[in-house]
Amino acid sequence: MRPPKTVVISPLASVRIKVRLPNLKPGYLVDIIGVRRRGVLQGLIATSPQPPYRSDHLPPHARTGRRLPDAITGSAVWHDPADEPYGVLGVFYPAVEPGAGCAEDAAAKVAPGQAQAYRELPYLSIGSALHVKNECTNIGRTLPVTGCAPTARLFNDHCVACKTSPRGRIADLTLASFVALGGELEQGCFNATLTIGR
Amino acid sequence: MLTLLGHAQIPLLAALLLGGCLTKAIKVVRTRTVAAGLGPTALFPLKLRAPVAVILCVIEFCLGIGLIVTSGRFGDYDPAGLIRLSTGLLFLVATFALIELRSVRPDVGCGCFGEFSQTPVTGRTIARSALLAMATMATMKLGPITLPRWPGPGVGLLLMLIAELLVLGLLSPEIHDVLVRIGYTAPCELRVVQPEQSLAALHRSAQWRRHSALIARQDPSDIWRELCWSYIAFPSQHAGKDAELVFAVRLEHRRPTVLSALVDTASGAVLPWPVGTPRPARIARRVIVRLRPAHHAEPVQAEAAGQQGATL
Repeated sequence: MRPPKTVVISPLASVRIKVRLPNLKPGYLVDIIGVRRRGVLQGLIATSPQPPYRSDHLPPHARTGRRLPDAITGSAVWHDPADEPYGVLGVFYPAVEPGAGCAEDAAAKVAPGQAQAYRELPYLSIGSALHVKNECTNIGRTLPVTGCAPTARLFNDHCVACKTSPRGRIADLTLASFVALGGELEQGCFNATLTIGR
Repeated sequence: MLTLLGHAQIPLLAALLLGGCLTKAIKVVRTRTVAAGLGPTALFPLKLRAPVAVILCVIEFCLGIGLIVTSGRFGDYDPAGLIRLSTGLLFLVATFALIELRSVRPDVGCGCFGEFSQTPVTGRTIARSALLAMATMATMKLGPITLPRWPGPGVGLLLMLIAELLVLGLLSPEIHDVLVRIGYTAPCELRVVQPEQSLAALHRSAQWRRHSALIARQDPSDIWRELCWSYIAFPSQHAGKDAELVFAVRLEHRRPTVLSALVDTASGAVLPWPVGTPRPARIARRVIVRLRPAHHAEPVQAEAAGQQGATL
């Protein structure tokens, strides 16, 4: 489980950040890129406009029909690699099967299968193979699911890296995977297509 | 006739209050959080949301029971009037709270009926609350409720009650959500299935009866899920080497398909079934090695001819 971390935002950076993240209050979602200096995370820029809702009040999303599409499109983001081995390839997936018992859900006292999520994604396990394709660079790789992405599933934002993606985050990549797929770190996301399988 | 209509309001209001309380309680039990998605509680600071949600639910329950108890002769005038006044005030306050909620948090549902009320607050929701406030106030000077004579006044009352329910239905976004839920079946990829359910389905299957003798230990060494399939692995042995007997159970409610394979623990290669192991009838035929993309919600199948086959 990724433990909670404190991000320090300097007054200069806060002017920039507050343009995109006006609600720096408990319960609102933020996605900030920064640097680590002497063990302190310093927030510098906001990657995307802030969702207007509280994280415990997700807007309703149209239900999927009786059959899920073969390929899932949406936004792929990257996360802070502080607790991961250097250069590890993998993807944190927003719909890891409830039986796996994501530590984040347990910490938030969420019952298995009851976690809120904006996108309905098929359940997979840790170790499942996902083919992730960057639609902007046309680079694709098959990556293992290496963790849960409890925060990514709460966002309903678009990614506007090269064109506007459908709403919702579908993958939270490790730093190395994001770069390997041609993602621009300072953009924070790219339009991705996921195909499940080997 | 208006008196008769007034009589119909008491059971209707009591049913709505108790229904609202019950659905909220069900949501709390399911989500294990008191303040999640309970509408107007979003107007309160975070710390107060849980207590406010509990107080609201308790008030609804007490007023619902109170309306029923004081509807007959027991509650002649004073207790009945007090309960009805309180109910009217509750709906009046709720109306203003919904107006405020719509301007402050337009993305939040009213939470009136737990998880059925997730549609953002609209004019219809506010009008419903105001209508219920007026309906309650109209019962203030009503005497004890008696059953109307049938068919004369009874039929008229029934028709008016149906008309009122229709109006309430038109003002309730929850009706649409309930109808959608009734007609919706989640695809198997989205169904929440506990590992215990898959294990129970496996233990009832013919594959289990055929191959369970090969299992070295009854506890599964691993259970995982991919799309519509739950995989359960048991430690086994093959030609003196460690192997795993893996079962794939399709996540279906009735008579789930179960497939099995014996694989080498070290290499993951599919091993032939030991001689003498009964073969499932459905794969005792000339078969091919077939790879299906997993996104077609079918397991990868690796089948071989006759006794050498393994299916997973």
